[in-house]
Amino acid sequence: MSSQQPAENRWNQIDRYVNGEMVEQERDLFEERMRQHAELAQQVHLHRDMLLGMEYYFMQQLKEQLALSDQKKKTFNWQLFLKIAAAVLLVAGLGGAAYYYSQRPADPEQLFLTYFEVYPNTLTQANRSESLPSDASPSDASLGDVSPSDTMPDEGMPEIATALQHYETGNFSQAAAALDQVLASANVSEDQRTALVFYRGVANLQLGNVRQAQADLAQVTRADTLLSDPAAWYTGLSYLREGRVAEARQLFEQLREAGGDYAQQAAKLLDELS
Amino acid sequence: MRLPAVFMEETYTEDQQLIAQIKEGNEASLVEVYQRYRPLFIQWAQKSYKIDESTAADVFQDAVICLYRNIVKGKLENLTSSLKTYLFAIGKNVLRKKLQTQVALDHDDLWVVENLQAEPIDHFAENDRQRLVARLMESIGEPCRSILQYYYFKGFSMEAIARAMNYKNENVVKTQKLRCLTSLKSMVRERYSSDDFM
Repeated sequence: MSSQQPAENRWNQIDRYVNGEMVEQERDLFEERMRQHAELAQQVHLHRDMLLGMEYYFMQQLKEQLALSDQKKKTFNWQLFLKIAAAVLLVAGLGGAAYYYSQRPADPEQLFLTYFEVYPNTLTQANRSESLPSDASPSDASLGDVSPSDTMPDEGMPEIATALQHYETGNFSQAAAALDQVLASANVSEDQRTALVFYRGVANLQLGNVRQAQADLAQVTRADTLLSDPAAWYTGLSYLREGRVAEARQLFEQLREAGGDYAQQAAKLLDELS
Repeated sequence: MRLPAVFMEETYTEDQQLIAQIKEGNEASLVEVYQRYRPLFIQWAQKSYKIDESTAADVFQDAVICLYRNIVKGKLENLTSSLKTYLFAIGKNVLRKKLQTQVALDHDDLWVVENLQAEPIDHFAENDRQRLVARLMESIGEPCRSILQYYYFKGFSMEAIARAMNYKNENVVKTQKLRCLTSLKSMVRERYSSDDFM
């Protein structure tokens, strides 16, 4: 193989060789070419190092996720304890209020825990419209350019209803798994896909799968639907989770300037960040 | 140790389901496995090898990651023991290599050593250039990081990546993947002289 071959073809061959996807005869021929062309051998070594480096990076990321799942279990219990303690003291009077305000978090991760709430399931069916959360804004009642008929599970897609039920009942690991399966199917419309990716992103953020959540939310932002603002909000919260305060602040400032549904929350959070 | 047949059948089915879910990219299932067996492993490791909790926890995280890599690479298609047995066997081997210590290996452990990946993850970066690539992955941004993760780490097909990331078709993903690799390669080259490629 000469260096004049199209770049894609050469890269694909190198990729297949390094990944062990060549059959024996092809591999032998390729290795002979490596012996004859030092540049090709260099490229193969570079590619191998890139793949191993990537693998090492993703393993480290996965290790962080596992460690975070331990922390989330401990942190969640602490948050629950604070809420119970604050409620008891508030009933008792001024001492409870002072305790609550003295515990206001300034740490980015604590801000995440304070402001993160699971986005309500608003992919309503006709007979569930009364179940919208009372504080939902009118824009939550539909997905704008997505009609209720588009979002209603088809007879052939009970999997969507199942996934959303898991989401609603707080079984987020099952919800994320079910949404993975639904999204892997070819029977999902474009608008449904964007919405379901959004819910998967929120579920993943709840589960502590921050990078996965960010990837999902980035897709939703690119799609430019009514879920773009919520996606930006949750992305900002995910940055707080990771301690990426500057990036979080930038997103919250954009939400505040946009003056949409998240402007007020963003402004309040920005006050606490400064 | 072999459990009663009825119990084995139930756990075998659940283990197979978990493996299938993990192979499909369901990280929540992997976290479930991790949380389920973590206390047991740490307790066992501390008691058996007189190590502190932090070390035992670190070893177990590496073991779960190795388990994940073996599942993605299809090395656990046909279980002959429980998932827990495999996981603990991987953990023993990781512990042996991490601590450079003598660890008694039984039949299941030896099978793992011979057939599966079971290394502390730090051992996977063999040279400076690989470690550089790992650092550069922080800078590469999206969607490259996700595409590369889906393809090389999670073992997704191009078609599956297109569906998962809402791309038009697999050809778009192939093109994007090539761009991402080219970009990463350029970043590596910027930090290394041509002599370092020899």
